[in-house]
Amino acid sequence: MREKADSELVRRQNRRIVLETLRGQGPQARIGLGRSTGLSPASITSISSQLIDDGIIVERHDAEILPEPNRRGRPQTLLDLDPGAAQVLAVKISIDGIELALADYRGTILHRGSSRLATYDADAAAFGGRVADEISGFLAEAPSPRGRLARIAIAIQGVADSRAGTIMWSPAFRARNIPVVEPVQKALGIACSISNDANMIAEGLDQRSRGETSAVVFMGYGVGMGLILDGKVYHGPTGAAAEFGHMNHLPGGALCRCGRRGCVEAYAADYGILRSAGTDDDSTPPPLSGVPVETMRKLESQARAGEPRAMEAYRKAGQAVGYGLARLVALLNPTRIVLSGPGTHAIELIRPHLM
Amino acid sequence: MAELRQNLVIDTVPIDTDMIIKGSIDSALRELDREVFSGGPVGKEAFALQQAV
Ligand SMILES: [Zn+2]
Repeated sequence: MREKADSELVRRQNRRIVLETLRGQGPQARIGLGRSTGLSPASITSISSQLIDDGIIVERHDAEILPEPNRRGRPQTLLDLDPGAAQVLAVKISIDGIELALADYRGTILHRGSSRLATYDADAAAFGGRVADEISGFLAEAPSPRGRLARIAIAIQGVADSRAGTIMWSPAFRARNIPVVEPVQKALGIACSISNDANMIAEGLDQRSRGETSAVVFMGYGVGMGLILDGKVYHGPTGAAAEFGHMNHLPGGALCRCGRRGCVEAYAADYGILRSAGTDDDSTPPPLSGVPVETMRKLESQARAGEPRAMEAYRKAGQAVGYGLARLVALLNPTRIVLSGPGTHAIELIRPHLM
Repeated sequence: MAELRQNLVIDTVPIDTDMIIKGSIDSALRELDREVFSGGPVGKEAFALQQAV
């Protein structure tokens, strides 16, 4: 019994390695796949024929895929993911809007759409149902090539609790702890997950396949982080694992949106920068929603024009992020850090003060 | 940061809807590879059940 369970585990693991390699590195001949995965030719032969039988991968001729000059020697048969194996749906919810994209199993986008969806004053209990309606409407209009929808991934601005399937806090909503995953799964019967923007940007970076450790720092209405450890996005138990913005920068310092004092975010989020520039009272509570883009643009131009308080506010922001990054670097030794988010519009004001 | 680590690269990537959409698609596909299709026929059954809910 034990032996059977073990061999099942090995088979699962090998299938997974093959799928991850094809996903990360693209179509490959069996021999190349053996090299990339470290699996024996016999294992590759057996796993690939299973995966072909299961309708998950397909054989393709290299002439279909590679342009002439890249082909060498005699024609080769390559293994590739079968686009018709399944479909996935990406949903991005932001202030008063929803965007949707349906993709095949190879990741090619088949259909896109967007519509207005009132968020700020949305009723927390009804919102998930509204999202489900938007999805149903979108799917009804989508072309229907092979493959059934198997997963829905929802990205939101703000803080998501991926275990509870809720939006904990978002600048797009007045309400808190808004259930999304459960109402969507209930209405559509399809597995769904929710995560924040920074994690999704981290997921989309192409360095994962090389097994690197790197971080995406999100700057804007808040300060967040998507952390990639040895090539895998680290979500932690609730999906709010890398709360870089709430690392302490200055004990007893400026009041943060989370209620504590001295967090990185209290200096480097839009509201923190705006507050430093406008007042010496760092106990002024952050605004409930995000700071309007125009307000931040105005502050940026003041700093660029050399207005001392505005310049100082960006210096403090850079310093808070920089100290945080120095700790991250000491702890995890990343090879790459990506700064992202609307706050990077002012990156040239911040960057010189990172260290 | 240069003093801390010679080979650390710090890039700026402006936030962009397409990146978030691409990341969401990638994450859903990887979850599918890992949790459904690695399992083979068993995984396919689970997949079918999920559809039937
Ligand atoms: Zn905080």
